[in-house]
Amino acid sequence: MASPASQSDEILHGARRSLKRVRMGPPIGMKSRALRRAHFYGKLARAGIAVGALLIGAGIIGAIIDGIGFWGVMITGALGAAAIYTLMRYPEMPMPTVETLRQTDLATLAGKTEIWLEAQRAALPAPAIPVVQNIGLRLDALAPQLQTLAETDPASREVRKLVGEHLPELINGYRRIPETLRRQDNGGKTPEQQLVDGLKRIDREIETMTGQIARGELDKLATRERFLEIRYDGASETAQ
Amino acid sequence: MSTNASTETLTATETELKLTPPDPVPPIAAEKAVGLVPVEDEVKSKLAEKVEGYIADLLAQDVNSPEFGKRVDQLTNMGRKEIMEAAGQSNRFLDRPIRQMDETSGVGADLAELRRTVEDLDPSKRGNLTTKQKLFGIIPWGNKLRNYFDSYQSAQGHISSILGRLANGKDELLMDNAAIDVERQNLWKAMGKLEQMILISKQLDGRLEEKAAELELSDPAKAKAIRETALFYVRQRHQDLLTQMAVTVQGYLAMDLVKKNNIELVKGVDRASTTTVGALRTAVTVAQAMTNQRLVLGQITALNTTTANIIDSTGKLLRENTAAIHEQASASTIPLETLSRAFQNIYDTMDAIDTFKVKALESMKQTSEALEKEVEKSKGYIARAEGQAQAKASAPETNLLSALEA
Repeated sequence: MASPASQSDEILHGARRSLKRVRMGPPIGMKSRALRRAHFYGKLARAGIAVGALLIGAGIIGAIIDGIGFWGVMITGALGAAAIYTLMRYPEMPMPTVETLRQTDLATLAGKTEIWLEAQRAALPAPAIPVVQNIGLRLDALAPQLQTLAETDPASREVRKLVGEHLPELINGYRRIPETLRRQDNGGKTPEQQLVDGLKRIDREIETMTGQIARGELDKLATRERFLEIRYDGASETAQ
Repeated sequence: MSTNASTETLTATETELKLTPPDPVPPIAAEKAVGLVPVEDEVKSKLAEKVEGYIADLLAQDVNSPEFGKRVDQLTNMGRKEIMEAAGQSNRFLDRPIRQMDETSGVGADLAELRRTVEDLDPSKRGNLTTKQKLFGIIPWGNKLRNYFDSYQSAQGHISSILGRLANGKDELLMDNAAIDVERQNLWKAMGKLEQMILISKQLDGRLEEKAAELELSDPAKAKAIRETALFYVRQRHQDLLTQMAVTVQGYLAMDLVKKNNIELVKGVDRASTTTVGALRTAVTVAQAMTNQRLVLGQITALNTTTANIIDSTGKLLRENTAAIHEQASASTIPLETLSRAFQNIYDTMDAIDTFKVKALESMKQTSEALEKEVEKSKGYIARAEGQAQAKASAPETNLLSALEA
C-alpha cells in the first residue's frame, strides 16, 4: 500500500532526476571543473597582462610624443578590447579525444576523461546519464590516488586501459550505431542496454581499482597502529 | 598483569635465557588445507542458494544455445578473482628478506659489535687483573685497576650508541611484526573467500552430477553436455582452488614463523641490553669498592633513565636490581669475580642468540624452500586461469559464482 506521503516522495525524486537530466550543463566531477577553472584563470591572466602591457606602451608613447591625443586614447581602448576578446576566446579549452586521452599523463587523466564524458552526455540515452554522473564521482575519488602512482606501475596501466581506452571505446561504439537501431533488440539486449550495462561495469571496476590502490595505504596505516599497540601497550609482544 | 610480567622478567634473569627457534612449516597437503577457516552456517546456506539458482538457470537453457555456453563460461572463471587475490598475498613471505638475522646489518651487526666492545672490557681477558684476586687486600695494585676502570669511560659512548641502535633495531622488529599481523589478517580474509569458493565448487560438483544422472533418460544430450563441459570445468576449478588454498595456508603459517623469530630476537636484544647495562653498573660498584674510585659513567646513567622508555623491561629490571647489584658487589669478598660473572651473563646471552639464529635461519630456509615449490606449482594453475579469462574476455561477470564479502 503506497501512502500519499511515500508517493509524494517518489514524485519529488522523479522530478529531481528529470531536472538533472534536462540541465545537462553542470560538470560531472570536481576534477573537470578544476581543469576548466585553471584554463579560465590562465586566459584571464594572459588578458590582464596584455592590457597592462598595452597601457604601459601607450604611456611610453605618450611621454615621447607628448600626449597621445583623442585618437591615441581611442586606439588604445580599441586595441585593449580586441586583446581581451581574443585572449579570452582563444585558445579554446582543448577537448580531449580518444587519442589524446590515451596519451595524457596520469595526473590529469581523470579530469580529462570527465571533460570528455561531459561532451558525450548529449548523445547518451537517458538511463545512461545517472551512471555517467556516478563515474564522474568515482573518477574524482580516483584522481588523487593516480597522482601517487608511477607511470610504470601495473595498476596505472590498468587504470589507463579502463578509463582511457575501454570507456571511450564503449561510448564511441554506441554512438556509431544509427539512431534508429539503438533501441532495437540485438541478441537479447538493445544497444542502449548494452551501453548502460557496460558503463555500470566500468563504474564498478573504477571503484574496485580505487580500493586496490588504496589497499597499500590502508595496510600501512593498520601496521602503524598495530606497531604502536605492540610497542606501547606491550600487547602480545612476548605472547607466543 | 604488569606485576606478573615484572616478576616474570625478574625470575627470567636468574634463569638461563632460552630462545626457541620455531619449527619449519612443512608443505601442506591440499586436502588438509580445507576447513582451516570456518564458514558460518548462514553463509553456507546462502552459498547453497547461489548454487541452486545457478543450476536451475543452467538447466533452463537449451544445450546448444549461446546462453548455455555463457553459463558454462562462468564456471571456467569461477574463483579467478579469489585465487588472484590469495596468490598475490601468499608470496609475501618470500618477498620478505630475513631481516636482522645476518651479521652485516641490523640487529645482528649491532650485537656482534656490542660483543667485541664488551670483550675489551672483560676483566677476565686481562691477565693481570685475574691474578690480582689472590693479591687483593695485600698489595694495592691501584694503578692498574684504575687504568682498567678508566677504559670504561672511553668505551661508554660507544656502548650507549650501540644500545641505542639495538633499541632502534628492536623497534624495527616490532614494526615487522605489526606488518605481519596486518598481512595475516588480509590472508585470513582471502582464505575465507577461497574456502567459500571451494564450498561452492564442491556443491556444484555434487548437484551437477545428480542432475546429469536425472537427465540421463529424459534428455541424454543435455546430460552429456553437463558432464563434458560444466562438470569438467567445475572439477578443474575445484582442484585449482584447493591448490591455491594449500599455498595460502602455508604462506599464512610461514608468516607466523617470521613473527615468532622476531619475538625471540626481541627477547634476545632486550636481554643483551640488560646484561650489558647490568655489567656496567656492577663495574661502577666494584670500582668504588676496590679502588675507592668514583667511576662516573654518565652516558650509562643517562641510558638508565631513558631505558624506562627504550627498553621497558630492562629499565624496570635495572631499577629493581640496583640495590641487589650494589649489595652483591660491595659485600662480596671477591668483587672482581662478580664483575666477571656479569660479563659471563652477556656472553651467555649472545651465545644463546647465536645458537638461536643458526637454528632459526635453517627453519626459515626450509620453510621458504617448501613454499617456493608450492607457489611454483600453483603458478601453473594461475596461468591457466588467466589464459581462460583472456580467451573468454566476453564471459559474463561471475557475480553469481563468487564468494560473499566478509
